[in-house]
Amino acid sequence: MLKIKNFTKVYANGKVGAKDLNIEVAPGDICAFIGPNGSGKTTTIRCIVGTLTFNEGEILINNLSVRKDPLACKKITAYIPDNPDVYNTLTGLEYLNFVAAVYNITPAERDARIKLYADKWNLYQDLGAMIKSYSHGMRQKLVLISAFMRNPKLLVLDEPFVGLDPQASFVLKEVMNDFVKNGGAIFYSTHVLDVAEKICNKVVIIKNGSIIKSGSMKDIKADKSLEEVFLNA
Amino acid sequence: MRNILILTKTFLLNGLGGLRGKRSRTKGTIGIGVIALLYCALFALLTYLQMLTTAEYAEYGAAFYALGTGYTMGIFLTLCFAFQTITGGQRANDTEMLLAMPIKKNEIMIAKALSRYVLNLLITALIILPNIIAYMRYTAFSGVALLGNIVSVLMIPLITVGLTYIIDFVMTTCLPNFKYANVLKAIVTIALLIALVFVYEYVILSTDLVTMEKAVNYVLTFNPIFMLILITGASAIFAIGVVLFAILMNRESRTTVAKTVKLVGKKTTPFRSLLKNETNRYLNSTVLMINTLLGPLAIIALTLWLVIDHCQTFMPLLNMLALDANFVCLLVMALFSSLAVLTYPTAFSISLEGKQFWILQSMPIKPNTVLSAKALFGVLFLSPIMLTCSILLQVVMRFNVWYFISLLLVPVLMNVTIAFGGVLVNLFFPKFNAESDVAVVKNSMSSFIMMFGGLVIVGLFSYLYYVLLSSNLATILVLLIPLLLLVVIATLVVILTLTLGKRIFKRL
Repeated sequence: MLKIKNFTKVYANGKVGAKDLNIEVAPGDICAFIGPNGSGKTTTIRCIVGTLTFNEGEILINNLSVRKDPLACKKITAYIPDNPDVYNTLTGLEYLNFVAAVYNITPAERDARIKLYADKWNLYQDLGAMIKSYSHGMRQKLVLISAFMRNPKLLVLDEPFVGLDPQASFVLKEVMNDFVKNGGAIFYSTHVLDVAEKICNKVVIIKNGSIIKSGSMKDIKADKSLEEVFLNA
Repeated sequence: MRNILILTKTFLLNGLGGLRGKRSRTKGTIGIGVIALLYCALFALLTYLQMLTTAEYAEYGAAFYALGTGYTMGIFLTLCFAFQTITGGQRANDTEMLLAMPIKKNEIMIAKALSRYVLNLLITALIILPNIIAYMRYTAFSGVALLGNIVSVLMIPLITVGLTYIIDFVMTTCLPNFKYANVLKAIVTIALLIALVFVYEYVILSTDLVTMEKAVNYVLTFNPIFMLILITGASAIFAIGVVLFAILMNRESRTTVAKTVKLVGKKTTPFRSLLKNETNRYLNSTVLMINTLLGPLAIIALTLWLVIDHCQTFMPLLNMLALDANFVCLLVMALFSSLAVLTYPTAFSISLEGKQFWILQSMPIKPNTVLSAKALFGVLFLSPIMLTCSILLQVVMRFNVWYFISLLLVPVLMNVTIAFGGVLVNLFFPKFNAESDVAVVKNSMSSFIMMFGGLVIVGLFSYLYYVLLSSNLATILVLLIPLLLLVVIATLVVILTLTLGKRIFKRL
């Protein structure tokens, strides 16, 4: 589903964001992308979702090139940033309708999916309010609803559990599991290693823009905890 | 095309959304229909008022004069509105989200430009269309005139939007590390408003009617050359602006290379840090600046005018009242003091802490340090300007020394009173849960009290000067009594702020 080949990103001021990364995430995978602050996680994620250009290598989503066919890639990808900046002066419902319109979701499908996910995350009764009245967790839920609503094939998440209450986190884990069981793939960055251990079957550890460890969770962990592996990497 | 329409609709909804306010989560928002109704109501009111004005001009065969004035105001006010969208190179908050969607960059760009155009057009139409309707009512209807007016109204927002894009590009390219885009925005907005007053007072009012009529007739007769220049020029400015906006959008947001940090840095005090914090917050808030920069800018403009004019404008009045040129000093004192009253950034300095107030409360800093830093910001903001202007006026006008001392001290003491008083009043009426700076600055009880209370104080002191001047007291006493009284008041306010204010701060 997601293939990153020899990916390198160097910023205009010479700073190396990522160097020669090779990552593969197949349908059915939940891949954790972990690394210290400033290691290149957000740079990589932004290049995958097309909000940042890159210098070398290739990123393929469902065999479509992010560089050559960005729109087609974006149609099947849903991105949830770590700090969901959404339109404060729209209501939750207006924002979801906007996303549905861009992704060409029919009104019937849109309404059904909004109801489904908004009920799961207990946000349905607040959809009529302005987003500026939402807490951080509520905004995060809104953006999650907007992501799952469009039935993507690849889900790219940057710190998705931040700000979510335990109930919402539990729902997110369930939804993520259902998503991959239905053939989707998830690539997400996180600092919450114990959650990553439980739900991910793959892990990539990045440091200073380069991958230092990658593979299946079982192989990488061996008989240690993910935290021990990360700290000793 | 489909995406452009979806995006434009969303951007417009977002742009107007700030007007909708928030009732409660369960009751939802005030609808766009209500805003449309309010717009129509305002439009109707402006049309009615314009009808009255134009009717008077029409009696003298000068209905075109009202139309010309309307166009002038429309252009300036639309420019002021458009200038608020200048970001100085900061990427819009929604750029990441939009770029991650299956939308082409040029669609995003076109939709943003279109939505900005529509919002500007709404402002232009609100100001100018009532003038056009009133004009048509009192002159013979002409299809050509109507067409000329409609085309002109459609072209003005193209120019204003294009200009703001161009300025944004120039600022971002020529001043890439310029942190104070907000300062520039605020100054330009206020300068435009002052320029509007200047143009209205000195150009419109004194313009000979024949010239004004000629200018308006270019529009009313759909003069081909004028219209060609207008349409081509407006379209060109808009197109250039949009192209430059596209270039900006395609640029990566700038990242800075982390500099090696030396841990052994300059020592600073909590007071200095707090003062710096106040200054940074002020410079990063356009709303705050626009609402408080008028005072300092007007003081500077007034001083320059008096210096260039050598106060000759006041001489006939002074001669009539048998007063000497030193009286100008008193007038200037009153004006400077009034402008100090209208410049009260400290009246919401506590409220602006908002949800971050816990930071100050939890720090090992004395409350008086916090309150003094906030008040001193207000003093340092205006007093140096007033002192410099007073010295400049003294060099030119050579007032009597006691008048000069009063001119130096009275406005500054008034500023100190307002600065400390503002903090104290804000402590009594804090507003920590406001949704934005706008709500704090415009809708707070402390702003209201400081503005009106301050003007009352200026009024009372002006009356005191009048009473003392009318008496037989020596000049030195006439000037010293109010000065000493103001010293006492300023001292009392400072003491109250640091004693009573301290107690209230601890209880917040």
